[in-house]
Amino acid sequence: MNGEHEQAQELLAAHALHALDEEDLGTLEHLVRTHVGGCSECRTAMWSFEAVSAELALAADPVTPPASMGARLRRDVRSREHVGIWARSAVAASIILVLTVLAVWNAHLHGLVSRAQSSQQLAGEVLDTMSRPESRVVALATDGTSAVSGQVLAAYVPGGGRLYLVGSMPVPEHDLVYQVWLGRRGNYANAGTFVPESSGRVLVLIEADAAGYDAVLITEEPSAGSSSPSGRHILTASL
Amino acid sequence: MQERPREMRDAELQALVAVGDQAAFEELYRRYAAPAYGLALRVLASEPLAQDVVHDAFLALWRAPEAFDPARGSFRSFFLSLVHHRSVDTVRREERLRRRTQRMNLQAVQDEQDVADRVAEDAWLVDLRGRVLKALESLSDEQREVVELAYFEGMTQARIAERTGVPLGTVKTRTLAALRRLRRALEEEAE
Repeated sequence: MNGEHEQAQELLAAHALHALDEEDLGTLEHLVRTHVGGCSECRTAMWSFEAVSAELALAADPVTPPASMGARLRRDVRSREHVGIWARSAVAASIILVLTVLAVWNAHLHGLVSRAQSSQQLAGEVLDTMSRPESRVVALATDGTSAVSGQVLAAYVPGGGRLYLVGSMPVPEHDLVYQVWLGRRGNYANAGTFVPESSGRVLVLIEADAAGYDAVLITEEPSAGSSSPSGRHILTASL
Repeated sequence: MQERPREMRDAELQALVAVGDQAAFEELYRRYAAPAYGLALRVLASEPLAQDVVHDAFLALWRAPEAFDPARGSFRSFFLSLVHHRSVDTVRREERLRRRTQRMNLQAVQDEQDVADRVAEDAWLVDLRGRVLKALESLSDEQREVVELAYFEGMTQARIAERTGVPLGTVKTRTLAALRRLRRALEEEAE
């Protein structure tokens, strides 16, 4: 549809400049699912607009930062563990793969889960979250009741309102999706459904404050999702 | 011997950073601290906030360097985009920074720095910057205004419409036209 195509292009251009408000971001999310994912011209526009946006950074006059900033950085680099979060994680390799080869546009995301963003931007957000000293990163594990495997990390900053799930999972069978649940004292709230991209890579953004919950659970459910966890428990972790 | 492409060398440095090479990290800092700080300062108009943004971006790079993938673009694009996003997020949190009366004189800022070195830009960066500025000059005044307000002042399109008194729909069409023209101009410059 031509109107939808032009609207998508407008929103992609503004998105590349980081200039969308919440309402338009929601519209773009919808268009990603209904149009952009299947429109090669829009996907090309998305990447090219982002490339243009990245080049605009050079239009700002370069300014040498004060020596005190460099000194602070060097002090922090010496004192902080290098790639600590990644090195400690048993699923580091798969997460790195996700962040480096991610193609969010191929993932189908519904409900509260996710936000349509470019891979680099979303990867940047995860990087930002995981690099904060106050961030928490937990590895989800199988509870032993399912043969389905997966390697997923949950990352969040308490009070930050955003929880990221990154890793890899097998693509569920047709008419099935993965559903994310956030638990508090045994009661689980629906956080949305998702399907990994065809390669199995997962990067999901849940807009919720994980600090208000004590567990995250991923189950396999019918494509419409369920009102409570009723399918196979795939992965879980305490928050 | 033919010199290898610049971006490949950045990627090589980043790969060394990934295994904890502090000298490689220092070299990336030397190359990108000034463009990153200039960008953050332009968006934030605040020295302390700009320093925090650039410091945190470099520290994030040190702690989780794998987030950059050379296959998806240049290190420069990735890193400066990261700085831009952090700057815009910060300026929106610090709404008071938007008051233009408090906007600082960037030249004065430079004069007050504890290091007042002239920025010794690498030649390739000077060349790239020239191409970007030339591409910006190819925009109409109206197109350039929406790009400036969105990219360098961190405004949403709704806010731009408020500021300029131009209908939101017009802001959107101008933004799209501007990005298309910039894309074309940059492609032509690269040929």
